[in-house]
Amino acid sequence: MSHVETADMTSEAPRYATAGDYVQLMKPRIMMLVVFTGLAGLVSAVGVTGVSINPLMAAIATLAIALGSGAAGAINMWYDADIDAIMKRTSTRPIPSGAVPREEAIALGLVMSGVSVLLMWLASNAVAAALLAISIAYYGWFYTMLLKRRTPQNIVIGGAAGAFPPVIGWAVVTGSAPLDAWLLFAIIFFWTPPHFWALSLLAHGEYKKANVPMLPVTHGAGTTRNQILVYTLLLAPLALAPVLTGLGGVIYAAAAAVLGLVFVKLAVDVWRSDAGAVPVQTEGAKAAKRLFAFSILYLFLLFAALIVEHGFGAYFVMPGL
Amino acid sequence: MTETPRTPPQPDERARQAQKKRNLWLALALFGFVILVGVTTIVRLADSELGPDVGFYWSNPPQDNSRSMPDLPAGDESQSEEGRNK
Repeated sequence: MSHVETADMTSEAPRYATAGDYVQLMKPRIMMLVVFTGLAGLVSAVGVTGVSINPLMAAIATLAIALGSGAAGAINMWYDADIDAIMKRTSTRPIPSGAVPREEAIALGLVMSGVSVLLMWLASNAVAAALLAISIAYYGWFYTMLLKRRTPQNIVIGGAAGAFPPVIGWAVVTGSAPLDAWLLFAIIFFWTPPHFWALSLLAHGEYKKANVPMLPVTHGAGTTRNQILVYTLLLAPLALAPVLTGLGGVIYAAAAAVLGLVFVKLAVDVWRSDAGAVPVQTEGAKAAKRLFAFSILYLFLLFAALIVEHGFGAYFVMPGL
Repeated sequence: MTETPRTPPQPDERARQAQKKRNLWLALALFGFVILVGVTTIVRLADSELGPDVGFYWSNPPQDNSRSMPDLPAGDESQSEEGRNK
């Protein structure tokens, strides 16, 4: 039976799980970004290496990446149900709201992990399947169970989990993971801290209540703003590296340069602000919100530039390279 | 002393409807998985070297009889003579 009394004891009617609750368990918004970056890796690999792939197999491999992401999300929600119930932002998730029992979440996560890796192996190759398995374990076990509640560097180290998809996408096509694929990995790796810390500046009170050692909780808002700026200053030039290797052409170079400058400008705004200070409704909080929203757009447009160049024949080599 | 048998709690109509929907989704997901595995297998086999020439099922590749056999090394004639005398 899949219904439990809601966490909110004041409500009288029990909540019954719908298909939508199981979709929520898979963190669909994260899944979309994962699929998009994985697809960018896949399309770039085809464009750069000239290796062709059956479109149906490419679609199934992409589905496997989506399922793998969903599986890791379900495992994360299973493990974090206790702290999700404490934080307002996450208290409406399927487990703390009482819609889905924890056992069903872990069962879904484990079954989908197996299904996604198996599908990936069938549709592509062992390297891509192994990378997918590693990324699920990295997020579901290493980040969720070992890092998140232990170190303020949880986001930095754990960020690697979200950086795997373009490498997996590349491996789907070539069966290997060359430098270009790891450059895309590095971009997402360095993008994660400013993206997530901008959000945690707004919600550090909640993390403190749940006893999660996020950087603003352990080291204060000032240190977090400094770290956001440092990682953004590392990210902006790093995002131009694919131009040097030939992975990115003119369109990518223009996108990386313009988007990088805007990202740095917004990070400087946060750095100069009082974001993370109490009360939350300040100019600084607005700056942090702007940075968080733009960071999503940044990653989306950067990888969209790669898809346009390699998937739609708009690749032009940067003059002088 | 007689014990009244316990009856398990019956789910109400809403619970039953919700369970029915979940079961339907689960069935669809399982069906989709089976179809995906089937389609993947067929496409991979068709793309493989066995490919359309050989057909869906694997069989021994056709023998190439036109290949000429390599020349055997020249033997020691005296030994072969001895062998014949024996």
